[in-house]
Amino acid sequence: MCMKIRKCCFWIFIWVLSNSVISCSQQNETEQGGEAESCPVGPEPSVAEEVDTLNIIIETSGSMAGFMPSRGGEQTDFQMIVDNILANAESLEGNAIPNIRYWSAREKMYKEVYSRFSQMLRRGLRNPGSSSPIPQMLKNVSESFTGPDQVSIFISDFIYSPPDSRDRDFIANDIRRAISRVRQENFVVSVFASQSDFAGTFYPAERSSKPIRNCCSTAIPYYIWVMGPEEKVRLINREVIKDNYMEQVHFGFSPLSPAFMIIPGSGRSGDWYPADREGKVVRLDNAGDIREGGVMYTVGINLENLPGHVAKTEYLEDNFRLRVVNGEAAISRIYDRTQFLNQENINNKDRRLTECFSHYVTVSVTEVFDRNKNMEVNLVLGNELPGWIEAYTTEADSRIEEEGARTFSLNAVMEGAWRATGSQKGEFFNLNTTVDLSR
Amino acid sequence: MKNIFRFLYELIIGRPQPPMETPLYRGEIFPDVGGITLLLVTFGMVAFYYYVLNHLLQTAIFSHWYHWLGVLGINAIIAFSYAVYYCQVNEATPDSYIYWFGVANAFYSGVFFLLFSMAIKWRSNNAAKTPF
Repeated sequence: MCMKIRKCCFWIFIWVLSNSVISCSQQNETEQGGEAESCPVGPEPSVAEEVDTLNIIIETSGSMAGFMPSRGGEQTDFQMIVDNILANAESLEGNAIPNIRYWSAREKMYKEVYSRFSQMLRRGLRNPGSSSPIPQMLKNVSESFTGPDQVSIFISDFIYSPPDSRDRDFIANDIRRAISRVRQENFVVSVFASQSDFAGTFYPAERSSKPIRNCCSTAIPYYIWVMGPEEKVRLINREVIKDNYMEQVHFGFSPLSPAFMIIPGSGRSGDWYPADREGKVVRLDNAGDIREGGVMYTVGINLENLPGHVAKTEYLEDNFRLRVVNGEAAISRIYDRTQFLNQENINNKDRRLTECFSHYVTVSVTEVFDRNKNMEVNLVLGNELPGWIEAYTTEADSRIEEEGARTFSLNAVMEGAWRATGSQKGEFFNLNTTVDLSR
Repeated sequence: MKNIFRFLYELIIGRPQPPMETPLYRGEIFPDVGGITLLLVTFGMVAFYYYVLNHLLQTAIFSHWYHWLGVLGINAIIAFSYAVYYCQVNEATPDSYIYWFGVANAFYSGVFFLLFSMAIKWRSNNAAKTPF
């Protein structure tokens, strides 16, 4: 009897042992955590394949003649760059852009044939017309040159002074009214700023000032506005403008979802570890770690699809903020990839991940309110007007030689466009990370 | 089972280091190494001692406690080596934690060796009373 009981116990023991080993191997297959297999990918912004009609509009009033002088010799930067834009557009004519139309903007919009338009640009603007105010031109563009199948490129110096100098404070609203005439849901505006040598008469916006003849030893700014439906403007920005401007700003675009991931082993402190393969959650076994030494983690973000000015570290430092639920946290540092690689002790396992992201944001968690709940830490990038606009703005363009490459009340003009497209409420993105305190 | 191994190892050597490797240790290394060395290999070694050396061979020359201890020592060396090897194969970040994990695994292999011995020694012809 005793022998039978022992035998029975023996085989039960063997059975338990084998089941334990099998369950171990099965659990491993469903285990979460660890590193991701490849770079995380965010949804790409949609880009149209075709723009039915592209309107290229150049202001040809007297103030623009200095950009297109009829002198012999060297071409101005304006002539070179605008001719380049024309060439880019022509290379797509018949394919991605079936129709290209050329216009000169004076007191009205005049349709031009290509040969005359090109000659005007290359040989100089010999007979400049009288100008109409910038809001009027924008209104014309908004009313007649926008639509679901059209994109308009409007090139001008954007020097605008209201007819009555007492209305200077209303410049933003004048621009806003002009652009608001567009009745199109996904209407967006991209503005690219550049500077050119200038040889002609400069007409200051200040009405009390006289035109400055034989201007200028300083470069004068001009602006390329691309207006139309969002996906089509993206195509034109990429293929015609080529996006290679240091100073640019984009109004009305929908929020983006850049790829991001918490970097497991670098730019960190505290005993947290990644709790999911996507790299969105950090887990703490003991919530007391936050109070003792603080918890710091770094989020890698790929901002390569964002407009140029947004991806600058200075813009990110000014406009990144945290929205924290159930605790307190702060942004410790924002790096671009090079800075991150130079200044952080990068864990070898993270080296592949560092290739996936253009920027890194280090978040320091300092307090948790309720240890029984998770913390939500949202990284929000606000959509604000970029700093270059102020640097390009002057209120005294009658002394343009001393002021340098600046435009009268440009900040008000841009603010008007910004408000007209509803960008003031916008966020470029909102990235959600979680501090998991469930254990 | 996974949580049992996690409890056993972290009881001696603390949380995985560096902390970023916690999912790797808890999810893969602890259960794999524990399952293979503490359960399979250790049971195999115990069975080898009691039912090959001291049963099938029909001799009593390996039935002393120091033979039993010798096999336990060999099992501990296997447990230590396999733990370190498995960490390296899984590309755990090099850290002294890997070797402390090896030591903890060797220790537990001895404990499991003793428990398995108690469970199965009674059927052995020559070592039913080894080690005691």
